Amino acid sequence: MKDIVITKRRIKVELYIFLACVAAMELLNVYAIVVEDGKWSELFMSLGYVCVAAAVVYVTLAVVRLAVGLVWHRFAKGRNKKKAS
Amino acid sequence: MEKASISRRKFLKNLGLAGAGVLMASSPWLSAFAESDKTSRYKVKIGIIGPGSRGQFLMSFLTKNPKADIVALCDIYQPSIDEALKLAPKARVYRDYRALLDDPNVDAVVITTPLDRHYEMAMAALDAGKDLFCEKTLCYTLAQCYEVYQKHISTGRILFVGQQRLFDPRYITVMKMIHDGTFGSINAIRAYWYRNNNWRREAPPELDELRNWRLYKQHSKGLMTELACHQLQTGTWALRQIPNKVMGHGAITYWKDGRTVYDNISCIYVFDSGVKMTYDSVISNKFYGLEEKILGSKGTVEPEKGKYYFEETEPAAAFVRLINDIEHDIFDAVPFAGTSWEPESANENKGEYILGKSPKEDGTSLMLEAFVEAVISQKQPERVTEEAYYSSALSLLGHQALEEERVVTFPDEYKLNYLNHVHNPILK
Ligand SMILES: NC(=O)c1ccc[n+]([C@@H]2O[C@H](COP(=O)([O-])OP(=O)(O)OC[C@H]3O[C@@H](n4cnc5c(N)ncnc54)[C@H](O)[C@@H]3O)[C@@H](O)[C@H]2O)c1
Repeated sequence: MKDIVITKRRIKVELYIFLACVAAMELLNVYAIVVEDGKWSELFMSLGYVCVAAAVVYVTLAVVRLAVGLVWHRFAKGRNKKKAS
Repeated sequence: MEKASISRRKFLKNLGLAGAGVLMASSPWLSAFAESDKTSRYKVKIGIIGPGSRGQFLMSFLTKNPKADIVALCDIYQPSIDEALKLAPKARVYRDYRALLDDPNVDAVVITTPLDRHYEMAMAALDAGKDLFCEKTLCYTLAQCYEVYQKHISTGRILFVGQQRLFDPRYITVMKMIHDGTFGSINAIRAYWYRNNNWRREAPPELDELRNWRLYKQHSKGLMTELACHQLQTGTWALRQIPNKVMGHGAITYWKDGRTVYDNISCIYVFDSGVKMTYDSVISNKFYGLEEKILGSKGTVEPEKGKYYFEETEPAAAFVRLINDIEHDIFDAVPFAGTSWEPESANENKGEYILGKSPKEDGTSLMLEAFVEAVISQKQPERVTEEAYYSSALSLLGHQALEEERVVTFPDEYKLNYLNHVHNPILK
């Protein structure tokens, strides 16, 4: 069986993606505070909800990226085979 | 607000700090403790008349009070005497309450006999110059209550009635909140006491009436004088008003065992403003227990549970509401027309504790301490007797309404000059 190697770069990319999710959710929080007439203290008080939502978005994105990656991988493999023949 | 369950000492300390203006405004009888620091070298000599179940319970507190000494006991039932002597072994024993009242060694008496005995004993005690703690209900009839009250005024003796909620830290605290307007305007009170037992004690036929006095009309007025009396007082305390009308119905629907008092009652008390206090008691189902639900425009109080609930609770975080809105937009079915009505489902808010989760006090111990302090200082705490008088009066008028199946109005001649009431003697 082949070892799975997670490169330093991959970890960095994933971290950036997660941080981007948190930032997006915090932006959504700002929008919610404005639209729903919340308190500005919720910027910090709701960080727990924001992180949970960010994690959900991150996992959803990961699933989508994995699916796209798999399809792409198959497609590239097929083209390489055709080229070789 | 302090949430932890508070000890008596701490409660009194808090009173010392905040009491004068703060708690005493809504519970003025707490002034009984004003001089408690200066009375430690005094000892009140107490005689107990009728040390049955309640009497022994009260004795268990009095024996722990260094300012009280139980010096005499009087009962006509030997097992009561035997049990009471275990708590106060040095007490003198009397068979006749008049002999106890003649004992010059007795400063104050506690009456815990069946209801129909209270009047003659209370009058005799006050006449004998004794300070008096009489268990509730003060007397068997309203006229008797009024006479005892007048005797207390004319003799100047201290008079307390066993309305321990007046000294219950939960009630004291929450009544202040009510009076401060925390729960808005109070427009209804729903009081009830449900239990599931027959109230009967094992007794040979010749002792049945003595042991089961609560079940017979000639000795008691049943649920109204035994249970309602405590809870009706919560309403007058909260509203600082006395209701002037009562209607209701009573029946024996379950315990058809020869008793003559109702086992199923329902009353409506009407205040001048139109606010109503309902009272229900059934003793064949205990699911809801007992409570006095005080319903204000901004909140609800359940003092027995020790909780209060605001109508408007803090909304969820804006972020959560936005997510919920999005979820509803996506998943909810689209109504073809807006609803013109929506049922009011019960509020599920968990509320807040008045004084922590499991308060241990029900006020009995503080009430007895207050009595002892009042006897030592010879100062009748403000309003304590008037509150008790009215709780007795209301329970008796309620019983009259059940018996006569009509609306009963508070008779002017039995009103005290108290709150919204003005005494108006019958002109002869
Ligand atoms: N404040 C409360 O929460 C509370 C609770 C329970 C009872 N109570 C009141 O306490 C009183 C007593 O109730 P209880 O449950 O202790 O009843 P109980 O039957 O246990 O005790 C009454 C005692 O009085 C004695 N007695 C009767 N006639 C007498 C007489 N002529 N002389 C001397 N003794 C006499 C009886 O022998 C008995 O020992 C009632 O008024 C009741 O309403 C108040």
